[in-house]
Amino acid sequence: MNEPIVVLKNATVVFAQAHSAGGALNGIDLAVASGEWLGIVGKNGSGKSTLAQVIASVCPLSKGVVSVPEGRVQLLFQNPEAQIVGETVYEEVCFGMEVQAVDPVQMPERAQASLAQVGLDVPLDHPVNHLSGGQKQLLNLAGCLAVKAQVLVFDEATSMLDPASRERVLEIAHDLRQSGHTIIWVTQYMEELAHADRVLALDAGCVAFVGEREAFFRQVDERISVCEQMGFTQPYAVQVAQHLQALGMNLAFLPVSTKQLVEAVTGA
Amino acid sequence: MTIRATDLRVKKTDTTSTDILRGISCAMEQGTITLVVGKTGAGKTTLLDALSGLIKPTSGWIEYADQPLWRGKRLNHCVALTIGCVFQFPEHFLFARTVRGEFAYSLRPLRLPRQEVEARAADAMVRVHLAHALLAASPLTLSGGQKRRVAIASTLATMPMWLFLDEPTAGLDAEGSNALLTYLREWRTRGGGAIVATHDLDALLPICDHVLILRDGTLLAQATPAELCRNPAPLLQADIGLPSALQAKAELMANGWSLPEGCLSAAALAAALAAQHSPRAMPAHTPRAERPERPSTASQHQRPRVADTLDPRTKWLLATFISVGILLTPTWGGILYGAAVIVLLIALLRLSIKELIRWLRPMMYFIVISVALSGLVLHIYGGRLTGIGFAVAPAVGTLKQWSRLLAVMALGLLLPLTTSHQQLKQGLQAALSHVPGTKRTAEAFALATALTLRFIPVLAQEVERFSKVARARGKSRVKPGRLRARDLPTVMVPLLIAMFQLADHMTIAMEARGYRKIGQRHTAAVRLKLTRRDAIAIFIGLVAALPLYILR
Ligand SMILES: Nc1ncnc2c1ncn2[C@@H]1O[C@H](COP(=O)(O)OP(=O)(O)OP(=O)(O)O)[C@@H](O)[C@H]1O
Ligand SMILES: [Mg+2]
Repeated sequence: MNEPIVVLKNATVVFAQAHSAGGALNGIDLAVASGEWLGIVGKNGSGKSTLAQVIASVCPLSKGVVSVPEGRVQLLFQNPEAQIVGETVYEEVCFGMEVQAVDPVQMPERAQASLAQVGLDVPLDHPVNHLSGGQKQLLNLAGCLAVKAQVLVFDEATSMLDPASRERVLEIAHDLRQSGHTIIWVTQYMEELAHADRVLALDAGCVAFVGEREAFFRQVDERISVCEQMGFTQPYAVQVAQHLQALGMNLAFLPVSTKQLVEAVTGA
Repeated sequence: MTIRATDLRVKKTDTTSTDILRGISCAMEQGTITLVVGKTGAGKTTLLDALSGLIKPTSGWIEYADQPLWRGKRLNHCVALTIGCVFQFPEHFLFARTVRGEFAYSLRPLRLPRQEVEARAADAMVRVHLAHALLAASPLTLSGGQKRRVAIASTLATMPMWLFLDEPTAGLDAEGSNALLTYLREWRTRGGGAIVATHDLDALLPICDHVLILRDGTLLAQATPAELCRNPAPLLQADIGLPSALQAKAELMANGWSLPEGCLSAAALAAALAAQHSPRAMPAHTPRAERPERPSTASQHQRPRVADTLDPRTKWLLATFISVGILLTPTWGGILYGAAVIVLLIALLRLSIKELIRWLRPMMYFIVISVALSGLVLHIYGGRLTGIGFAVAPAVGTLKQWSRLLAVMALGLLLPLTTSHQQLKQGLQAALSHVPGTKRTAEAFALATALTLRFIPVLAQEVERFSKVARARGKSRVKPGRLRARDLPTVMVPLLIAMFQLADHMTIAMEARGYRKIGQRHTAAVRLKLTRRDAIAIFIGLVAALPLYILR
């Protein structure tokens, strides 16, 4: 396993106006390896967004420490419009670079390169509010790449997108992981954990489970999986695989997305 | 009872005359759940807004049973009271100080006794699985999914006959969306009707009765879920994607597996696969599905407007010079001359006068009222009002004062209308930074100006949003984009809170992108350069404004 790039020790967040007894995060210990894809799941209000913001150094800790590469962690939100500052595509991609004092000579090239990397093929002077939701999310991602982000934190970044755009954002994230980026992916859709190396499940601000993706979904000895214990429904592909196993057809790996299901049964 | 829509058309409100929706005819029965599906931008939200009376269609006809939704220009209030809406972004829906306040606002039009309001709120909280204690919490401090649940609950509490839900499962956890599905099923058997816009086919397709498929503002197809399971082609044509079960089946069949008709449960699919499983029969290699071509959005390329090619500093300079001239000019001649210069500028810059007037309208109303008031003369004799007169001189004096300000305001508006706020900020900063020892102040000032400018359009959006909230939840009869005076007290405070919230979001977003403190080192993407064009513009502007300073 690679060097850890994000390390949290006893990370605790208690909000001033808290409405429940415990904090939003209660003593989280976590190390994310460089180049890893970590999926984060949990019920509404379990602390996922708070954890994402802690990792992106936007939410101060009440207790504990967080160590991340300064300026190299970028956060994407659920509502694609929430973080757009510029009015044109170019202004928007450059905003982060301006803030990080990148030499202006490099900007056009870096802007072009990161737009190409996310496959956003629109003119630079295109007004941001003429883009679709999915395109806005890709633009946000391009802005993150332009500042050479190493860790990308997606906080339910696909939940407002149509399935095609969602697939597209997932694919780009997958490509970015292949090129060495670390991905932290918060979601309510279990299928989206298909690319995760590890899954972290939060419950009331505490780590309820952290481990390999397969360990999260696999039913051992007829017992329900961690995924089900946490109150989530197993993805369709996982259900099919379980039935297949009961019928005596063993798959090489546990598929989570439909694409993986096809791969798994075709190679069985 | 049925909602029947005939040949609906909705045009965009701004200057471009493209249709967002056209030729939509459909019917929705009570006791059924109708899904509205389509890609982002296909018009789902607009269709929901039109069907629920939040916007008035440009043409077409909507009936609830035998009652029209619109009577001429007015919304049929009796029908409106039977409708409940939940918006796409829950944070656009909520504004009260506490969750309890949200319920109070939604239930106010029903004029229920206090205990009934409290009982319904408590019941709705249980339905969406939220702790009763959260009633006292501020909606701003809730997590995304909790906000969504509150938005849903406060609409359920009104017990409408028709529910309009826009993307209701986004951000909900499994428990939350299961609770919603259970509620919808139960509610349908009690005779309620629901229209749900969604991307979440996995969750909602199994429970719905009818699906409307939109593409580019038209109704591509209508079908039952069973029909779509047998033939999902319309979903693919509309570029929506398939529910997991159909997607898996389609991909497997493309890889040489033969599978039975219809939507298969995981067990059925597994059985079919296992029956065919013999390693020999496997297709040699898997043909990969090709990525669909993405249509690229080309922007309409026009000749750049003069205003877009000028340096922001030039614009600042000219605006300041002309404004000061207008403010200082003592004569009507000067004011009229200033107005003429502004009109000329608008024509030169090819801006729309309509747009400008839209912004200035409140100011104009204000001027008319204050001119009328200042001319008012009350004749009082012996402590009694004996007559009302009108004096021209003071009225004209007031008119003169205000006309100057109106002209300056119009001029001020030209700046943000022709320049992006980023550029304005940069121009201001560059101009101010020549004053020695004020670099940080200059940046703070420029940033504040840029943000204020950014907030102007946002403010308009917020007014629209509260107008929508007032119509959907307060059952107010205002026109889109307007607010009633009566709604102002209830809306001003939340509007202000919302602005703070917005500022807060903005801060988080900017911080997340590395903007930590004023004065930190940073650079600018666009190097400002004064060109010959600027020199010419400055020269012409100064010459044009000179009479303001000379004519006295
Ligand atoms: N500003 C705040 N003040 C007080 N409490 C807050 C604040 N922000 C969040 N909380 C509370 O902290 C807890 C964790 O919130 P968080 O947003 O991290 O949850 P989440 O896991 O992201 O939930 P969701 O799935 O709904 O997005 C919740 O109980 C929430 O109500
Ligand atoms: Mg969250």
